[in-house]
Amino acid sequence: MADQNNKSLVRRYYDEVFNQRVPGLVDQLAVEDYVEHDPFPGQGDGRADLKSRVQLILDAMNPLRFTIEDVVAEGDRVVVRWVQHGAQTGSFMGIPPTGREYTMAGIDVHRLRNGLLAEHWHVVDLFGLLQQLGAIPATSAAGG
Amino acid sequence: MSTLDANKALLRRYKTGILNDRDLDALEEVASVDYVDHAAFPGQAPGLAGLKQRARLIWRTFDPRWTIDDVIAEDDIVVLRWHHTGRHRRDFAGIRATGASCVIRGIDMYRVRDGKMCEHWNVVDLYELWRASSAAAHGTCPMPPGGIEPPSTG
Repeated sequence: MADQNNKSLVRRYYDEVFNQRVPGLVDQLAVEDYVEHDPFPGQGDGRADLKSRVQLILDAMNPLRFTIEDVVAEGDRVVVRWVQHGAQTGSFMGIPPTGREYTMAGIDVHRLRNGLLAEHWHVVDLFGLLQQLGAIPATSAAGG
Repeated sequence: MSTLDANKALLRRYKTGILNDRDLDALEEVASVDYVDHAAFPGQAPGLAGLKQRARLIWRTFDPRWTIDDVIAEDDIVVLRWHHTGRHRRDFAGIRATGASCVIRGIDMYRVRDGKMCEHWNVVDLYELWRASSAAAHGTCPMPPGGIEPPSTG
């Protein structure tokens, strides 16, 4: 089924590009005219900018491990609910390396085209991450 | 209607019907009594009672109006990508209220059983809310934007 093939492709993005730290694999997993709806500062559309985003994350966070909690697919979309464990060993959002460990939750929505990553939306708990890195004051729990 | 379509309709009704209408009693029609919330607020009671508590708290904190941006479903799971627009009227998660308009975005995942939602996970990011609050308190916020542009509203 196309849905299952899409799920397998998306899993490689987390397992291989991030967990095995192979950013070059993005060339095989994403279309060249990739569309990003939740860009990092300065990130534009396109596969080259996606690769830069991946590299920025890998440079900032080492170790870094995505644990996939759930994968839901329908039509051309694949949703991934994940938890990321890591340590901030490089600069991130202007924060110098802290060495601090963190756990961050996120949910990605990927749209695939011809079996490749073509479009992306996400919500990640950036607020919680920056609290754990000590960049903003810690408070009680989040929600919404 | 297929089960998948019925499940999607259920979640649309919950998010943009019942929540936007502030229809507390109708929550009993869409959520199971033993509703499990993996994203419970601190102090949120278990089950349907906790869901009602949560809805009231969100209503009075943000006076929100929800818009669904995407719906994706498989088997017994429905995913909603959404944002709500409103005002930050009360302190929330340690973030001081500003009274200013705000946009909050989230992605929710629900499990549906026998036509009612019975389990819930979500991720919501409060970073932009915190930045706005920090800027209101100090005149400026030292932290950069998260690179996340709020969806256009209208």
